[in-house]
Amino acid sequence: MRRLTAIVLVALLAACVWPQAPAQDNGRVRFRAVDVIIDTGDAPLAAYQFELAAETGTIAIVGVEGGEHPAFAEPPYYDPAALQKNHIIIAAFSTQTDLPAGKVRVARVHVQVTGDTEPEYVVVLRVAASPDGTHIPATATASESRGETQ
Amino acid sequence: MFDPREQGKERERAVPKALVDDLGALHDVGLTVPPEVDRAVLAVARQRIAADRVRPSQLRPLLRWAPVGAMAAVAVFFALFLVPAGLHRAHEKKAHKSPRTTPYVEREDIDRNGEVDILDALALAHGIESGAALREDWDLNGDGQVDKRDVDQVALAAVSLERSRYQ
Repeated sequence: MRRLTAIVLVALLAACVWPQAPAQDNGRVRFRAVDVIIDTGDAPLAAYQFELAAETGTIAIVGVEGGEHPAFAEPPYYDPAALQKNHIIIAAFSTQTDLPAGKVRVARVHVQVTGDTEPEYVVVLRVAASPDGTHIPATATASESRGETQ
Repeated sequence: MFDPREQGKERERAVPKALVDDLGALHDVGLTVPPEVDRAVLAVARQRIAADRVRPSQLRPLLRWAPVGAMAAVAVFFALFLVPAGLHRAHEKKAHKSPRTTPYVEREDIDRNGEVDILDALALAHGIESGAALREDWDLNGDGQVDKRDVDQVALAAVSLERSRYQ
């Protein structure tokens, strides 16, 4: 009789817990890469600084890598405290003479996305400067890279 | 119980009367003070003693000024202790509220434009690469030299999440 009661209790407990597991799985997890592109027009880009955030969706930043141009190929500066958060400030500069101009991918940010809501990224360009440190007119955009990483 | 006075009387009784009379005559100057003189001396003495005492009427002017004196003492106390303390507090409060007369400049703000950003790191890197005279206060990590590590420190200060608008 005791054994039967224990089995029934375990079954009830399992029945209570079981529906909660799929609820957690509702927030499916996937990894994405977000490219940040700065367009400086004709002006050479020697330094940049921007803030990236996801205003919708649930993301956690998991890594940052450099850009496509050799002048910004090294991983940029960022606060390690931004990892696992949904916003980050990224900056880099180059003292090289060969500098990119026009549209250039300056950084790639790897994020973990949780849930069904697709994140909307906002990038605020704080600094885009020429080699002598003067601000140049530029725009910045952030978009998910095509190659999704699982 | 031993009483020295009784002992003195016993001794007096033991002295012969003739000796007592002779001694009395020796010191007797034959002068008697009339009672009027006695009274007059006493009256003068009383007057002098009374004159030396402070009369209540003499205290009245002092009592009249006592509240004024007390108020003056309180005023002095306020002036010496409370007013300076209050002024000090007010000054501190004012200093807290009013903008600084001298703008605060962060150490990482190399170009002194009031903002720490990647351009400060760029300026410092240019300074190091060009071999220009480097300021001592650019040695941010305190290792005795201004080099790439200081540039990194400036750049990391620029990207600190404390500067995020999403705080």
